Amino acid sequence: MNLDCQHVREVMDSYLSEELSVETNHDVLRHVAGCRDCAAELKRRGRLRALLSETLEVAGDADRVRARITQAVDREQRSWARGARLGAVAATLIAAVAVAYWAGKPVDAAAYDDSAGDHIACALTYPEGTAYDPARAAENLVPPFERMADAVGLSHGNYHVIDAHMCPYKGRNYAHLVIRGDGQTVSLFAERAERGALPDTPTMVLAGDALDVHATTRLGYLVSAVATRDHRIFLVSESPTDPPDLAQDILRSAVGFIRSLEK
Amino acid sequence: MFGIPHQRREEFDRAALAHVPELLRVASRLCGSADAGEDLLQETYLQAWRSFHRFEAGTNCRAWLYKILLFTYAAQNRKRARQPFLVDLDAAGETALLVDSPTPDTLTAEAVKTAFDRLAEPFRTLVLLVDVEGLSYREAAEALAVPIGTVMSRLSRGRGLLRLDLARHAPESSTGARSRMDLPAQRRARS
Repeated sequence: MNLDCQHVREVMDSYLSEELSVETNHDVLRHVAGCRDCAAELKRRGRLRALLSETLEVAGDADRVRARITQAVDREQRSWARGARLGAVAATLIAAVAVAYWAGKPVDAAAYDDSAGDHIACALTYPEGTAYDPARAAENLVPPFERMADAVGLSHGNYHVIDAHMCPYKGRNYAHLVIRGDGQTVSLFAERAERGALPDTPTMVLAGDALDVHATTRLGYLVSAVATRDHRIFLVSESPTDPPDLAQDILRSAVGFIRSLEK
Repeated sequence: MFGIPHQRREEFDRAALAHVPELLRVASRLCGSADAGEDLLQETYLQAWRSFHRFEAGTNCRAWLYKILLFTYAAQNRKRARQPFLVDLDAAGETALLVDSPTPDTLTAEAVKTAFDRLAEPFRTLVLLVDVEGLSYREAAEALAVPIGTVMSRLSRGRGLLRLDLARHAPESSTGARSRMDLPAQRRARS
């Protein structure tokens, strides 16, 4: 096959990136050997890349940054370790603290940010094509959430649960369903209400139910949250689901499941 | 279950911290400064540590970290990252494709930097990942969680826009006028 100049220009950058098949690579080389214009353009594009690398060089001290990261992870690990050591004692204290919490109505100020943060850190990292594995979910969910995926429903319209697991994040321990559909990823989180009330946001009433849904945007994601007696449920999505009431269906199923745990 | 088991810390240090130099360079280039790049990278590694329970040993840690870095960057710059999609993305890309501007003869570091900074997302990130950092198309697709075809079409548009911008701001004598006139003629002849 003889490539003309137009075709060579179209694949020239892929040639520089070494992304062409051996055959097309040879075609480009053959063409460039006999075409001064394309040879000159190839040289200019190579020079452009070299200049890009050169001009975008930003000096950074990798050793210093590695030390900084290590310290930050140490701090986080220490806070978790402290939490684990104190776990047994805390278990007895939590009830008392919770009573005090509820009496004073503390607010869980980071509730929305943390759900959006974990959505980014966890749900968005699932590779394309991930499929739900009931055995993996059964292994990764712990009581009382072990039935959550089935109870909420594995499919809602075009949206399907692709994973379910316990998801530790900033000292929380979410039960996390990762749901995919229509090109977007949605997270459903449930956690025990141990940090206080949901912060005030505009609320809407879930159709057919008496629960308020807090709706807000955090870190660029839509967060819909519902507080039940002992739990908090968060639905995090990039954009409104289609159809719009699909998010409500998922939330409603989740609320039904969580309420069944609280009976 | 409370936090990540202690024994995984060694694994995290071994698998993830080895990529700090490369990711620091990418983060700094994305942010345009070393300070902002360091902050972005620290947040990336904290996010990675928090979700390390989901990382499977033996899989590609570098690609996994790239993905977290790019999501963290996009989340921090949500407004800016989304803006280009609100601008006339297709029109911008088509212009680049139709003109298929040749690269100017005379390129300066300053002109290249300015043109790169003017490049809209998502083209800017892809040109950085592939043409500067040398990621393969497949690696870039994995990092951005988009199909490889999307990477190829966005790269083609991004590179075209970069050349177009450089040609527009280059001295008239250095833009390879002959080539620019020849290419549309060739396209017509082919069709």
